[in-house]
Amino acid sequence: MQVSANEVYQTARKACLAAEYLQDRAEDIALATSWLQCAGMKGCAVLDSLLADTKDKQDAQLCLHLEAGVLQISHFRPAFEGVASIDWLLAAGDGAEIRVASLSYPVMFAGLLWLAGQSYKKQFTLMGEGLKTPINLPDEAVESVAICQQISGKVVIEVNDIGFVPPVVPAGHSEVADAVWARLNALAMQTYVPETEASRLSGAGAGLVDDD
Amino acid sequence: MAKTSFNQNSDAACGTSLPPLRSYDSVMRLSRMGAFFPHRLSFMRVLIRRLAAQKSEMQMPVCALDRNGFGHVVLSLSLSGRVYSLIAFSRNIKDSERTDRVIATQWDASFCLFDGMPSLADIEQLADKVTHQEAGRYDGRILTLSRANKSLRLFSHVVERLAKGQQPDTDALVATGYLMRTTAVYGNGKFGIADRDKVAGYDGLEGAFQAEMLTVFLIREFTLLLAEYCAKQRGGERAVGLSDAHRRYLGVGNSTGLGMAPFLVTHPCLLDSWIMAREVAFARGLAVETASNDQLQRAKTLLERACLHCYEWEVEDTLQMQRIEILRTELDRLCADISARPLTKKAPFADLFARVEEGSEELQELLVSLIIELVPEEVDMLADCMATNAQPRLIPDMRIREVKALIEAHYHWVENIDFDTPDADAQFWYVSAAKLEPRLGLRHEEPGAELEMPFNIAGYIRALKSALATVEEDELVAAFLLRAPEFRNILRRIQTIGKFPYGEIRDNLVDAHCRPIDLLRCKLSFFGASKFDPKSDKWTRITLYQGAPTAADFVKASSQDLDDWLFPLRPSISG
Repeated sequence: MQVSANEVYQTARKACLAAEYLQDRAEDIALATSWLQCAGMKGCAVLDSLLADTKDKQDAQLCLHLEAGVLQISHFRPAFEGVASIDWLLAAGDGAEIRVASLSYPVMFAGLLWLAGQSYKKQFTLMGEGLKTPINLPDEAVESVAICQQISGKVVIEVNDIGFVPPVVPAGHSEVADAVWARLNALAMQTYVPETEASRLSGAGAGLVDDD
Repeated sequence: MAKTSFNQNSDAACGTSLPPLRSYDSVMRLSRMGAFFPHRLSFMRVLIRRLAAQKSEMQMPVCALDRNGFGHVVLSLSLSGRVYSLIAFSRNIKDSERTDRVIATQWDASFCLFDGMPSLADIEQLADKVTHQEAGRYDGRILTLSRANKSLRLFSHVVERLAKGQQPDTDALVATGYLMRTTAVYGNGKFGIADRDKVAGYDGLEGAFQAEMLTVFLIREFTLLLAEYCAKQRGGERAVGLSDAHRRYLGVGNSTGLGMAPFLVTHPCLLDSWIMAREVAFARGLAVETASNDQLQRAKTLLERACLHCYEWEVEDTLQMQRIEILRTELDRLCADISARPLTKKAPFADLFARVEEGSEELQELLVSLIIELVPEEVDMLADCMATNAQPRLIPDMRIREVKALIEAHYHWVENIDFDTPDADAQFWYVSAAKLEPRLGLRHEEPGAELEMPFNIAGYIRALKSALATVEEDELVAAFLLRAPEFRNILRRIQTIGKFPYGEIRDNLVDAHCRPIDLLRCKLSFFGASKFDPKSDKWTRITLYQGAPTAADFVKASSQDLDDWLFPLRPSISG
């Protein structure tokens, strides 16, 4: 089915909240999901897999530590260690580095890196096993995001000032598989609160009688 | 006029110094936000100015109504060279099916704003979807989706009178003020319609809520047309159309509840841009050193009109009616004071406002709207600053010392909250599973607080302050967040408010005594709504476009003459 960019964002955000992501994480992942969809990549399908993976529904404590100024990540989750490592790279400045034992959901993480790079005018460089050449995010073409699928094993990520203006991906409609959309919506529904009668009467947002 | 842009961290706007602005600590209190009036930067005013300047001509390429007024109509209008069409479907529903609740499934009329001119096939395809509103799926050609119900008493009265060749009774018109009231106007990608980003790319619709305002304007045209059409069907040759004065007085009604309130909390950068533009406009009015005779006369005229407007503003809500009565007295006193002691020659509008600084917040905020009205050349360009792409953003390389300074600067009001009392977090905001709309629950009495929306800002600030008490002042935010990631959201908000200070409401939104109606009035005043008619502390009725020009006016009057509808009055007085 065809969905709008904002539908993807809102549904993804709520689905992440239902998976017990913190508010800011849910928003960042939802933005990345929507951006991936608009960029022609299957952001909703990636998110669907991510949220189905129970390993990623752990508590917010991060599995990482600093070692000689380098951030070492043992267990990588895009919404947790992923977001934290981007913040850390941005704070540490040019030449800062992180090392990830194994990158999971690399396309979602690439979406986060792209948006962060665009927002902070920085470029992230990923070097890792399985890659013939480093991947730069953002880059002059969005295809670099898809190449992240090839990453396996250890990854080193650096940050530097950006030397060009990354292409704008306009918000728009994209195609999502019905089953994926249904699963994300079902999750999103879990953020809604069943009403009590008291709430219905006292918390109502509009009048009950409308004949004038 | 050059486009203006703000940088809230600098003291410059459009190459000139910003005038001194009112403190965000004062402006962003709920009680004051709940006293805002519409003003010339309100989104409806901005749209009408643009349509009038372009002498936009509305056309009705399709009118397929039966003799009872059921069927469909297309109203098209050009804005900045692009055609937009309201496709309106009028249906016969039972009285028992008529409800303003978002969950309703039947409406007297349902609408979509179509990008361009729809073909007959488009209309046919949309008929089933639009009349079922949320149950349909749409594409990017649909810019907004809406529906409305008739005000049965007034609609019938107007049709009956017009059919007999008579104008409607003015008292009946004033008592209601609209022929139909909308119950929702959806935009920004809902149900598959066009995203805001797409609409913002259209010249003329780039401002906040302009597509929605255009939709409501065309709905108003539809309601006038429908009433006159039905009268003609009933009365034949005897029937007459509404007088120009009656047409202008009739707006579109709206019932607005909690659904609208969270937007102001979740869009701090946008809220800042709205309030900032209004405050800059007000400050530019205060900064006028000497006023022309025309300006002074206009001030007097507007003050008298505001006074009459408030005497016509009657509501059932006891608290609001008390405020209106105080406002009437204050305005009478102010008018008398100005008659006895004319405004000073130097800085007359600053003098005007100085005379109300001891008055009620309703009086002060009414004067803000009035003073903005007096300096159109100084303020109209500020409308360009009321949409922004800025989003909350973490500043990970900020030192904890700076975070503490921001908390001190923007969240000192949290210190006044007694967190030991149950009142401090008595309420929680949530999205209702049954209604899919925001609601307020009672935390200590109802289940569901674990799913609350993140509006307990004061509570989050308190927890963060406690966590920061033992943190090194020189530590980077990103390093702190490695240990305490749960604070990232509130840290991002604090840093954002540091740049967009009018983006934070400086009151406890989960307090037992928090009145959501204040949030609604603030937002609706920016839409341009008037005659706030609270039905509880959680919802209000309003009228949109009351007193505004109609489409017919655009082609026959000068655009300046069409920009004078602040504080609308009953037709017999203003007509």
